[in-house]
Amino acid sequence: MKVDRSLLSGSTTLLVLSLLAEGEKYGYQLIAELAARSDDTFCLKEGTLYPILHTLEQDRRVVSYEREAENGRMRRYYRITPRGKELLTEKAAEWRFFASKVDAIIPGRAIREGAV
Amino acid sequence: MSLSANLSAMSRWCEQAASWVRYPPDRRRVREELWNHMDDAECAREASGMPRAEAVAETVRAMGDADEVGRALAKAHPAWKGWLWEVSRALLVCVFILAVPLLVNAVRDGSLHDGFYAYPVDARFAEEDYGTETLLAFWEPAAKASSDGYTFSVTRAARRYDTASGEEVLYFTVRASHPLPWAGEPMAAVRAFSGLDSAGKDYPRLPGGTGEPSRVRSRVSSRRPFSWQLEYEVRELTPGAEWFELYYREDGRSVALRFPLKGATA
Amino acid sequence: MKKRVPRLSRAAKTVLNFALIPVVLFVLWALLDYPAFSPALAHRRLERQNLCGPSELLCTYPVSDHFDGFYSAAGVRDGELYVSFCFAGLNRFLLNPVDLLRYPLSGTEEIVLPSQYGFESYTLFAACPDAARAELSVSLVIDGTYDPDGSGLRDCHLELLYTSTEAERCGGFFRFRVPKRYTIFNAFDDDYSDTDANLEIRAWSGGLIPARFEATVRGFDETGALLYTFSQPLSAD
Repeated sequence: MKVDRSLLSGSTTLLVLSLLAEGEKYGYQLIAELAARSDDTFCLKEGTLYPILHTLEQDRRVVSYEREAENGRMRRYYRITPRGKELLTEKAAEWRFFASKVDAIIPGRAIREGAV
Repeated sequence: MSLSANLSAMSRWCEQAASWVRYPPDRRRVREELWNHMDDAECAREASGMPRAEAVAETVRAMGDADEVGRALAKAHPAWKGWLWEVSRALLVCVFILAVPLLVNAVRDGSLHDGFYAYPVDARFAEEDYGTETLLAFWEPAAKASSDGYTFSVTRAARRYDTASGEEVLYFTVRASHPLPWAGEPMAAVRAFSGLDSAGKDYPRLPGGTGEPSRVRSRVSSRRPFSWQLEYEVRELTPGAEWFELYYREDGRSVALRFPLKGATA
Repeated sequence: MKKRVPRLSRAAKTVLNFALIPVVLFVLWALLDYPAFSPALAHRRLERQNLCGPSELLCTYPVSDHFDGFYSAAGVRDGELYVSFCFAGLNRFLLNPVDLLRYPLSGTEEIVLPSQYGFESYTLFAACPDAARAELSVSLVIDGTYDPDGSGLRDCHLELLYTSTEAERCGGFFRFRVPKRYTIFNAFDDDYSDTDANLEIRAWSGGLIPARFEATVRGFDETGALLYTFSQPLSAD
């Protein structure tokens, strides 16, 4: 199902933090997992991931370090910090609240049962 | 498209996006990270069966607009923070570099900190006889006074009778302290403090050059980070005097270290 | 596998660097035994050490003709002139306070001669509160008898006059520099020679000859009219 991109833009940070909460990951890995787990619904412009990651790092929500990859190059991994987990909890709660309110307003079982 | 042209499309994208980051070390990091990402993505597309040229083009397209990404990266990497770090490092290095000739010069001209010292405790200030002087009393007075940030306290006193000259002599130590380490030793305590005893006798500290020996003599016997120890010797003490006062009353200051005397013979 | 985790963020390192700068500078200052940064600051420190002052600072001036880095500061308080001395070693701008001397003032026209060291010029302070300009003359008068070779006594009179029209205003004083070496005609040797005008009785071969110095100050107003003149013998202490 194609989804309006504007719905994605506000929640990218939430998605990135959620994936990092599961374990350390590097940039391309995050993009790939995001696409794979959402059945390609969440396919953000890959370049836009890095400003998000770097801003999170500046805010001490994540930390990064370099590790040698299989191809011999240094790869930068990101790990969520306790501060980042706080933000994740906050954003997730915000999202659930938002979704529940939207759900309370949109009409009909028909739409929920997925008629396109 | 040739391989090199393909790869250069990716590196051009990286360059363009990274060029928005003004601080060079940050720019290098960003460029490397973006390149590694694009390389991984391109390899993954090729591995899934896509021809190389198409994989490259698709990778570049999937990254998004280079300038838009670059602007967002520039916001995440403000140049002034990087330059401020450089300035702080350079200043610190300069301070260390500046220190070397200053310290070398100070060693050469002898103005380096002399360190802290303490003369061995003189027998005159200890609880024992001294030469022809028999000990009458030894005690620890508690007199305290302060002026100009200095705090003076009398710490030890010994009263003796000199069998050779028939006079009584008083020896005592004064601890002078100051909270600021650069205050310097209290010169007034060495050269300008005078004495008075309970019998009304004055022990003036006479200005130099008068030819008369001063009845109060003193010296600095130790220097510590925030304090000095001064040793005082008072000759011809009135026998039977009950207290002694070391004083300074000049220029609006009043320092009076009065302490009771023990061991009075009269 | 190489794994590097930076322990401190760049922002934290920047703050730490800036915080370390004053710490290192303080440690350096302590190792140099806390030199003062100006003659005025050295003067203030010496006042505290001598439990006197604070005086009203009038001027600071170099003391030495030959060596850079010897300075004095003069201040006045409660009828006393405070003169402090400090010197810079090889580190030109770091001064070591040395001493503070106090000279009572009579409150009228007078000349104060703080202690002088070695071969340096004299610095004299002349109290001239209302004058716009002042001049100083110093005369050295040597009167005495001299027996150079045992052949007989000779009378001798030697007078030296030095005049200075350059003086620096220093609060209510004028500060004069009087050089110590003069070329004078030496009646004893019948020749010109350089001599030190130390304010001391000098020993000439054959005996002591008494010498006396006298300083005369003339004060002028803005129009150049003479306001007053006063003289005072000078001595070496």
